[in-house]
Amino acid sequence: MAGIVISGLHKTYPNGAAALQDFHLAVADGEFLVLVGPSGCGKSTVLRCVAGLERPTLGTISVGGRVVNDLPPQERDLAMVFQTYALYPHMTVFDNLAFGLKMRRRPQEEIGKAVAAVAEKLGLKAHLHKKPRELSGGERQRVALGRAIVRQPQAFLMDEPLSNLDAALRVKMRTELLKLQRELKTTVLYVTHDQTEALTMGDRVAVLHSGRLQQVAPPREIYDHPANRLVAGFIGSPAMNFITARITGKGDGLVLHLGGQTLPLPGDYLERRPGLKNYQQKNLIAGLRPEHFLPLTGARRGMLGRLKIRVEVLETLGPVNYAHFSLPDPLAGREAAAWVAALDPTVPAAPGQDLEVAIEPRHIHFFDPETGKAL
Amino acid sequence: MKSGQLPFREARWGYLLAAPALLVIALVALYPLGCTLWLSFQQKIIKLPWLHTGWVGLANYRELFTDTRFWQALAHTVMFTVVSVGLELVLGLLAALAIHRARILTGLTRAAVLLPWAIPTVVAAVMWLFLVNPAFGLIPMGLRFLGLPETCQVLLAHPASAWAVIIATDVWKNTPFMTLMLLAGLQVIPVDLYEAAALDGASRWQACRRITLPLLVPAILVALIFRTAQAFMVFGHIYALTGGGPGTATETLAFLNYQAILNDMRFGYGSALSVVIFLGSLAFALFYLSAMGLQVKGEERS
Repeated sequence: MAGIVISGLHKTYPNGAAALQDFHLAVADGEFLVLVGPSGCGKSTVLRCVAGLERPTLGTISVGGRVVNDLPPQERDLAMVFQTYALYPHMTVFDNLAFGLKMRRRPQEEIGKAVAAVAEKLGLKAHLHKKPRELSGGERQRVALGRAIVRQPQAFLMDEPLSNLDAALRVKMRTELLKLQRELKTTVLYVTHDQTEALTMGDRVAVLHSGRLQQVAPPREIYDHPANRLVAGFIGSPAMNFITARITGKGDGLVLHLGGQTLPLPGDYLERRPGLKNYQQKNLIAGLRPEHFLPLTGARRGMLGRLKIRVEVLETLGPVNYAHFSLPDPLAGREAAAWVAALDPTVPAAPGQDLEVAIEPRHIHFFDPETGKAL
Repeated sequence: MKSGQLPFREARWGYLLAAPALLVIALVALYPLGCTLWLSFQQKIIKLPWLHTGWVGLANYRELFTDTRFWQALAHTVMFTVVSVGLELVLGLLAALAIHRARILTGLTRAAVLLPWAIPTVVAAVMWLFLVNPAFGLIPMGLRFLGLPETCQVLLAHPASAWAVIIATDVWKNTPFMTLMLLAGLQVIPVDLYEAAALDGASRWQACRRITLPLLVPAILVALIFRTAQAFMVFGHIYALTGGGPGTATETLAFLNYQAILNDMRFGYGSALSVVIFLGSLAFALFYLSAMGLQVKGEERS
């Protein structure tokens, strides 16, 4: 087991396209780190550079304190789980699992024991003599995992390992994979485009966008304190709502203008959010997560900002209703911003209905309109 | 799907639609085959019209199987097939691996690679005839340069060197075909298998032996079927290069067949030989097909 340290990684393809720019990331020994980002953001490139399947243009990669830049994949002692699983189709499950050990010329007896142990752990014992094509998607996925585990490598690299599974199985494998990692205490660098996987699985989450690292933090912090607008918009589902806003007034007259409406802010709001001080009277981007719309009932009636909305589409999911509506965005000079509110099913709502919802000012995120940085 | 599972009307439609094709096959394949079989039980020697013409039963076959020239031709054919197809497989595989690795197969190089294959056999053979011409051929000139005795330079005059020239012509002409077939097979092997193997610690050689070759088996089998069947029927090279000589040293079954029918005008005897060749290649084809069938079934199961 070992940590992975990536520093100053640049990758530019021969056609001039920059896949990665100045990428730094340290995965601690035994940590499960999820690298997440939209497709094409360069996250697989990071993984492939660490694996040795691609050469970085600049920067160093070290595994367990050893710089591996010039080592071929064979000598890096890492295991990778591919999105397509990349099982050897002409070999049995046993041979697939044993391949890495055979290549390393381990004694036959040791290979047999190691494969049996892994097959036992992953529930593959009954399938050892089968070819990959005879297995279900979930079983193949487990073989791919087993092939990585059996060698006891320094670290696992996983490239969207769950994305070829159906939804129910994906949820199941998510927890299985986590349990397995806790048990083996192996370092994992896990790449996915699925922010749910990132939040549920990672000890820490690294968000990558357009080849640049945006934020690295534990899931809770990524969610509650996104470093910038890109992270805020990418993490969370449905995504955070954004609109251009402006803070005016002073003391008890402090108000937030958004969507053609005004929300009163507590008098000490600017003291508690010092980042906002220089943004008074200026445009900034306000962000609000869908779950932070509260029903306008009882005790909350007096203390909160209210927003008038007209429900356009209502999605009924059972535990929650998603009300889609649009807010005019005059400050940005655009027609309207499409917003989603997650409402408690007890709140009566129907398409076309006018509704008042409450917002707690502390839930509002603010971002610089130019740089997108969180304020 | 078995026709038995189809409703009668649909099955009848199916037969109706297939009928024209079946009719054509019957006309161009089954009818001549039947005629040949019929002739093979007859004595019919056009050069010697005064001899008895008509039914002689198995006499032609009896003569054939006691004729050393037949057994010799069979041995030649098998030797030629094994050696030239074997060489083509090895060279084609190496070329395909090299081209695949280097990714140099653009439209132009593909055309260049395919060129020898596109040349008609007899034209290719005549080209080689020029190459080995004792008076001005490039190869004897080279041998002279190396100081080999004069007699060695008449390549087609010695059985061994005559065979070498025939096989070289065939290998030169057909290796491109093998290369393209195997290249197509290589290109469908997913790249991530090699990447997984590399991370598993497999060297390039190990990956080639453990991943590439096993996964290339279906493509190799298909290429071998085509080439073996063709090589077994070899005629053009022999006809244009050696005429079966020196003596009968380079006679193959197809060439012997041609000799019997068109030279000796022995239609009955020649037909018997045709039937034997036909049965031989049929056995070949069935063997390969069953090997392929196993392969296909194996794929389905796995």
